[in-house]
Amino acid sequence: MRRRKFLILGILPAIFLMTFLFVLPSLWGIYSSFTNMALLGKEAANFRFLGLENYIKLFKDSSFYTSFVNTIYFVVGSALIGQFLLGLIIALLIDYAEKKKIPGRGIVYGIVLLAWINPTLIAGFQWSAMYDYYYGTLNKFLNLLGIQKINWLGTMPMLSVIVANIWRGTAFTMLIWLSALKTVPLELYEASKIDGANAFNRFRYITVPILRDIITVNLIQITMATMGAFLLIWAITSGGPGLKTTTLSLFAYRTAFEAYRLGYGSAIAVIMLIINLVFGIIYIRLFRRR
Amino acid sequence: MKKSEFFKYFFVFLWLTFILAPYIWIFITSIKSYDELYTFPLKYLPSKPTFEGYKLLIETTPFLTYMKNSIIVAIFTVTIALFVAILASYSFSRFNFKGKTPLSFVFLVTQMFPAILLAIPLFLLMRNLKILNTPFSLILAHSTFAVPFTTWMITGFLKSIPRELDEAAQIDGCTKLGVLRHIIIPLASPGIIAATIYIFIYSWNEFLYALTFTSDIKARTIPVGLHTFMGEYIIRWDLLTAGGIITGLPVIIFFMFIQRYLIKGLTKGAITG
Repeated sequence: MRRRKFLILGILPAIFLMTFLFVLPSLWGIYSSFTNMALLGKEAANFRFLGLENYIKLFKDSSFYTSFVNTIYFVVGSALIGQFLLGLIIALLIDYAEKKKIPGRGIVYGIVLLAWINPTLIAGFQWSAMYDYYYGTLNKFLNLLGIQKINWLGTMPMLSVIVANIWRGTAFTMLIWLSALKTVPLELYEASKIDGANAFNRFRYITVPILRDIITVNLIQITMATMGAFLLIWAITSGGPGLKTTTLSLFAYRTAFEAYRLGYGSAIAVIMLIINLVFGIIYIRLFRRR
Repeated sequence: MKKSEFFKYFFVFLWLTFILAPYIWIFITSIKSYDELYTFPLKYLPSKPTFEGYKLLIETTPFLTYMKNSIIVAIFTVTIALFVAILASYSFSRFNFKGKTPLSFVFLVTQMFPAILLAIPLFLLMRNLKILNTPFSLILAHSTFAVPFTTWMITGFLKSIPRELDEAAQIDGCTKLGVLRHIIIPLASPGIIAATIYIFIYSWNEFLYALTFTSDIKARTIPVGLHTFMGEYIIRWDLLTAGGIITGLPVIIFFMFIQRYLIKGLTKGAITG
């Protein structure tokens, strides 16, 4: 009986928070995507149920397709290839330095986290100052090397925002991996070293299986965070030039909060949710316990 | 030095340069004088470095109020979310109960909901609770959004702790709560620290809810406060960059504080384990 009581007490606060601040509001949000609700004006008070009209309109909207494709580039480029892979490499390097007690590892750790603790808005300005054609740090540097200036945001806007997002977000994956690596019992590595396994195989067959759950959650978290990132892109390019860096979250934000079309904006957000679910299912399948 | 060693150092060096490079501009700009910021042609380096921007920021803007609000919101969010998440992860990792799978699924799915979808319903909810423009609204919202991910993360860490340790402690006369306090938390401390840092940074940087729930200057947090330095016609680079530098300070202090616990937790874990 004690066991049950403890269990209920343990899970109850979480259930309470989730029900009232997450489940119910999100149902309301999904409902609003089927209406012509607006943020201001007469539709704000008297809205109508439209059925699937918002979604039909969305699928005919060419900006939607552009933002959809941009979102996929942005997520795959900055979350998967960038943050995940690079974050893992840096974590392994710092872990290595910790095990070998190489001096300076604490400072390296601190600097790596520096980009992440920065307010996103500032990070955005920092990068627009890096990329600026006339006064940007990058072109100043190229100038020193005697190389022609490059119009970063004009010729490669997507790559530019991807690099900025890698800069901002990689530390998070590093943090998770670094803590996770500490929980793998050292004896397991020792045993496999005796068996003659190389570093890659040790990682593949010992570290990954033990950390499976953490890897899945980390991948889901960075994918969803990247999917939802709008402030960084907004500060660097405002989604331009044209629609070249407009992702779905920027598109949804613009629609709901700048054009005040709440229902239509919610429909975009619901599509984002569906994309997130697809990514989530892929990750869970990939790292499922066999 | 072996070739592979060299590459390791070289990669770390490149990464540090990558991280630090954007800070060059923010620091240089923060010590430029006001005139120099807006005269053309712009110069990259300041001719007379000054801390005028910092002074203006603290004396003429409500930046310290923003900072106080951010600290209150972040600290309460960390406390509440961590408490809720540790209890929930303990239940998830150690007990089997009806509805565990659907519940953990709900937790996972929460991560997938775009914040934009919830901004308006939560705004209406906070308005009905009459807590708009107070730290409570942000503490509640931030905690709710931090709990699912943190729970999953800590559950992952708890699962990697062998159950035999709990059983051994229970045989020695430890209660369930005792096991959690004396065995699980110390052993999972790297994970719990990572979770703490995550919650803190999330709350510290969160923008969308902070923007929608607070319209009163007295209740604004730093990200929204900095946003107000961007006027319609002019961006106050001096205030923004000085603010950017100062915002990092409490976080660095927080890290130093937490890292001491990390080391303590690790050695404690080694003794018990």
